[in-house]
Amino acid sequence: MRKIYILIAVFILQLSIPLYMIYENETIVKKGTTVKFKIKPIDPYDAFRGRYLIIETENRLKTDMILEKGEKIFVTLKTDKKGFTTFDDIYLEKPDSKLYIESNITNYYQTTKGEIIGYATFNTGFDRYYINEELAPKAEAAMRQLANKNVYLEVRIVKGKVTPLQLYYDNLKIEDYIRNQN
Amino acid sequence: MNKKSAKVILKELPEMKNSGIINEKTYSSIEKYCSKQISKNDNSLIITLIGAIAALLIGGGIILLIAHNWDQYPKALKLFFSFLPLLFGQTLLFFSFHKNKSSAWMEFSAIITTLSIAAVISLISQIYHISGNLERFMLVWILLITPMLFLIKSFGMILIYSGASLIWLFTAGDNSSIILPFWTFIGFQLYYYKFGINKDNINLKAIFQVFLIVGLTSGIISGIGNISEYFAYLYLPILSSFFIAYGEWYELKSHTLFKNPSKIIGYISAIIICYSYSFEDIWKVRNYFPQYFYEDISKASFINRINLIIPIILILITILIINKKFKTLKLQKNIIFTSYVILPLIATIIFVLLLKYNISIIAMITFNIFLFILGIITGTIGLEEESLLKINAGMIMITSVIITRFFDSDVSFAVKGTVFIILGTIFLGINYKLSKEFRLRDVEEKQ
Repeated sequence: MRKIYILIAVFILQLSIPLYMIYENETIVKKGTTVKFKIKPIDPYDAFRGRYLIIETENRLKTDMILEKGEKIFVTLKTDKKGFTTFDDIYLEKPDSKLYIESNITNYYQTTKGEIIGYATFNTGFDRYYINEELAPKAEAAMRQLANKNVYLEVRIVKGKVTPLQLYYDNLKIEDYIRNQN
Repeated sequence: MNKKSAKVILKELPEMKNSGIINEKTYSSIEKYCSKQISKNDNSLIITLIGAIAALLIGGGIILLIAHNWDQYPKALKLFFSFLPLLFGQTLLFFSFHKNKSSAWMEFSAIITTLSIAAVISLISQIYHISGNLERFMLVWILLITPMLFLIKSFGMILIYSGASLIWLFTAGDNSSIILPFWTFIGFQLYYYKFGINKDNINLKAIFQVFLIVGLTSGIISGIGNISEYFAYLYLPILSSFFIAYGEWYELKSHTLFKNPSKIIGYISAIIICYSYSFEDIWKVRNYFPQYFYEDISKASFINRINLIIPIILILITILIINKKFKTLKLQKNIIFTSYVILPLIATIIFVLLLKYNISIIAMITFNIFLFILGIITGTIGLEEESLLKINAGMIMITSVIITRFFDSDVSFAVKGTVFIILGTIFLGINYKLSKEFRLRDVEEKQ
């Protein structure tokens, strides 16, 4: 009989992990600061992997620190006059500024031209955007027209944690844009 | 005893008792034994498979249904739908467990639950556009299945678990910190192999054995391979010996060869290892090998060094089994087993000598001779036992040594071709003659 209680406890554990995922993301969505990330031009021929769109941002920064692959870092953000956000600087400690993301290094290399300059690439936490399976084939064609255009991603950030919200093209939701195209 | 004959005996039993052939005590013990045999076979492969396939189909169908037309629903509804398969699976599993349902029910609900854990995590990741990290996803999934291994008997579940931990090992690549958790997962699987699967269900055991062999081998390759690739010279022979020893020990329970993958894989890998060690090129690494070997060892992290314990454990188990077999099975007579199982011993001696002296040619010659001797032993025993399998295996080993060394020599292609044709003809001739002879003898014996 005791085994049945253990089984119930296991079930609760199994449910709690996805529930925690929801809780974490909902907190970010509710309390987060909204920023708009200009994304790199979408490569129309390599836009889709299955049912998601690959989102690329300028996630490589110059740094004078020597870093290692996998190392935990904090990246601060800056917003330009048009209201678009980009990555600003890399820190090893939690920065004072309110807007930053927690991340880790995915690639690091150095060049020596007189002085040593390091380049670090890091995880952004938003490199995927899932699209409905019915829209996906149409989206592929639409993306070809959107290459090099003003596409941006709305993201919410709280205490370094990120949740992507919505992909836009000129204030138009990307899903609506794709639907209107066809 | 199979189910059918048990049923026949049960049917005839009352008559035997009534006619006084057997007494009351014998009657009840035979009845007990036969009913046990019948109920035991209920846990058969077919039922398990049907349960598993049904679970896969239904689980896949549910996911397809709810993933279809995703963005027309509000987010809360999507999230609710994501949990449905898991809740469905858990409810089923709860009732099969609580009401002690048949193994097919258990199998079905355990697989649904296992798969829907993965489904719910990936559906939520999709709803929130969470970046993909296969390594972490697999780890969370494995950890959430783990506690069920100790509560639920499901063959499909353990295979998924085993496969998932392998994929996790591969996705993690050269990240050395994952190897300890991986061995823990292998440990859980071994526990399940011992206690979770019905002892008499040798079909399921054989399939699971293959998974365990792949897991063990991959774990050792990625764990010790992280320290130094030169260890491969040692751990591959150790693994093959371990599989041979385990296979021979497993056979004590009178299982046929094809339900004993450990034995098959052990012997075949031993032959392949011997054959590849019989080339000079493989030992030419000697020129830079000792220097890099010491360097690799001194650079290896603590976690990586812990990996070295695993082959030592395997060697100890192998020795234990050999020791036990010597006593119970009069191993002296089993020359094939003895001659194959000493492969790691030879490999270790060569390996140690190679660190100090330049003996790559001696190493090559040693393994040529060893393979040749193994071939002769296998073939001769095969002749004694009238086993065409062993005779051919022995002949293949002998001819492979001859042909390969012959190929290395500078004889013209015409001569090489002729020799191959002659060897092939001899092969065919011997097989033809022997099979004829064996058949004749069988007929005579029957008469």
